[in-house]
Amino acid sequence: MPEPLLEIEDLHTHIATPRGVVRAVDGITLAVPRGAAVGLVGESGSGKSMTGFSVLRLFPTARARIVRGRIRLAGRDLLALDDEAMRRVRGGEVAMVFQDPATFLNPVLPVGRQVAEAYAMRHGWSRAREHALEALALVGLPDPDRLYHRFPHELSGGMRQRVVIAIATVCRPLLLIADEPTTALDVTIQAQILDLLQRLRRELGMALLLITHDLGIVAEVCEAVSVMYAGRIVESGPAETIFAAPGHPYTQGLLASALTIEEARPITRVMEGTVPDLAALPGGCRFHPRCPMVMDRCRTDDPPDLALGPGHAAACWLHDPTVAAGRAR
Amino acid sequence: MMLEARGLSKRFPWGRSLGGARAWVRAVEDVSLGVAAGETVALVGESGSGKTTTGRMLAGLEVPTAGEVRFRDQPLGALTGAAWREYRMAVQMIFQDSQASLNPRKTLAQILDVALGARGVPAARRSDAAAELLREVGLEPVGTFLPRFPHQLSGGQRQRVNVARALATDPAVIVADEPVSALDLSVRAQILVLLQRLQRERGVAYLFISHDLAVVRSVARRVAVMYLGRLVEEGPTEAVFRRPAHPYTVALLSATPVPDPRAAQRRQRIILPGDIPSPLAPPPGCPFHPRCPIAQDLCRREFPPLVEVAQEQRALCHFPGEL
Repeated sequence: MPEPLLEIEDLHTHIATPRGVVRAVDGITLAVPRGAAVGLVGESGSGKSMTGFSVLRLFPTARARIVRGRIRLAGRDLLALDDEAMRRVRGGEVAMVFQDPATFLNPVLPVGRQVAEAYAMRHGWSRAREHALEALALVGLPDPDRLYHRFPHELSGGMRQRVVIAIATVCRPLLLIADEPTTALDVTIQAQILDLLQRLRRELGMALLLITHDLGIVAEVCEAVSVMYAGRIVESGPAETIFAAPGHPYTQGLLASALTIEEARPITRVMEGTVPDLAALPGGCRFHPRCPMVMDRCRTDDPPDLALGPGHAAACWLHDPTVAAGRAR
Repeated sequence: MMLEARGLSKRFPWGRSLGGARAWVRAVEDVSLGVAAGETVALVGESGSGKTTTGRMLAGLEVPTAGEVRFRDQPLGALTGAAWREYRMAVQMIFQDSQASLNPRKTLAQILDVALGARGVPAARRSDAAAELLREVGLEPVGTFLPRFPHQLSGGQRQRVNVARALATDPAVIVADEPVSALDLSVRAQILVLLQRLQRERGVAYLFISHDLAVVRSVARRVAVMYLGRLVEEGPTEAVFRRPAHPYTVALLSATPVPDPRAAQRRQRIILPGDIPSPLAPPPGCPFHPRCPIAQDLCRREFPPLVEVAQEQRALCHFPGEL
């Protein structure tokens, strides 16, 4: 087992809203080993993006706050760092790439300059240009010398996302958090970007936390998967195991709704309802109102993570030894 | 054919150069395509492929620059008065953005009332008919939904309202432009199940416009692939997915991730270089040649023929089936 790089333990991130406290991340535990690719899968409102923001302590709203938990990177406690130290971690050991490259880039600054700036923030300006050109070449952009002076609007969506990845990787991060990095892109461009991320992992020895709703992308890129539902990780394990033998009814439902180009699947088995309101979660297991296998206990008791196999766990009472024994009889 | 495109083209003016010729975006070029009663035909492609513009022309929302749309074997240009109104009732459209396509100031009851009025349902019967439509698309209890405004609904519920509104005119064909692309996986499946049930129960045909090949494989009987304004391949869905003939279709399928790690390892991926060219200045010869892994000199020079590669399967390519 490779040494863990990122370790998230019992993380709680809350957002204060006029309607009450939204428990966007509600006690998750997650590890990303060095150099590994881990997928964090969920639908909208599952808390997967807030998990990424929590690691960087960079929230889209001032109302969000980490209330409890531990986040360690290469053994260092990130939550103990002050703002200045955290700024150095961002874009240094950890970088993040978002869905929409257009909003991330500064529209009035040449793209090369933006890559150079990311380098200079940590290492000073003296060799920033040189490193920026190298980063632009590394992400597969042609003719970096000319491209350096171009503006974001002069580039295609795919090229802009490459620039964003160059900015993220110019300081050789240990961990790249990619939040829906290809969702805004066309399929053929998505394939280019996924290929690039895989190459960067190999060449830079970088780990990847890939946040996505797309099970196909996870299957293609990740060795391990965590499935999030309403602020919690409901199942986690090796990708092959999760796809072949999902243990949580939510994961089972997701996979049953996932269509594939490999065969025409009848669209029959469907999860009813939608993700619950995070400000008013149901009692017991938060999936129980939609669960086809709901039992009495699920309505009152929140299930703990129960082991299903090596590195494979699901938060579901079905896997409680007493229940499992009862079913076997 | 219920609804048909014949040699359809659409050009949009783009800017104006002083003393020079006006530039034109060639959104759609010479597209022929038919939708028979009760079937689902998928129109797939990436951004700028012209799939949405083709759909809008078939739905009568856009006037073609060349070619014609035919409805029940009559060219639209020949339809007048009652026949034109019948076409407008019979062909409805639903869109990706369920919010933008509903009037935010009207309740569901009012939205459906307008649509039912257009079909000529007498005012006295409309509220019953509206309730019936909501029941049909699964928004129950109906009484709690009728007085709601679109913003009070989830994305999936709003898309159900759009479907209900389309059904209000009792259509023969629904042009559905990315109807499930903005929805979460579990909600997406609910809407697809709904669309399939409506097809069984009402015999409505769909022109299903999508960039998502996995969805297309499960919903469509026939599929047409567009690239840069051109229809580059069409045929029965099974045939096109099993034996794609156009190199673009081959690449598109190979680039689509599959939700199965073992299959992902087995599959060979073709990664096309570069971006989709601008429809302002499509490349000479075959429009796909700058990105095509098997392009030859001929492809750079000459526009390709539409070749019948198998029964009912055609590809616009000099070398179909060779990638």
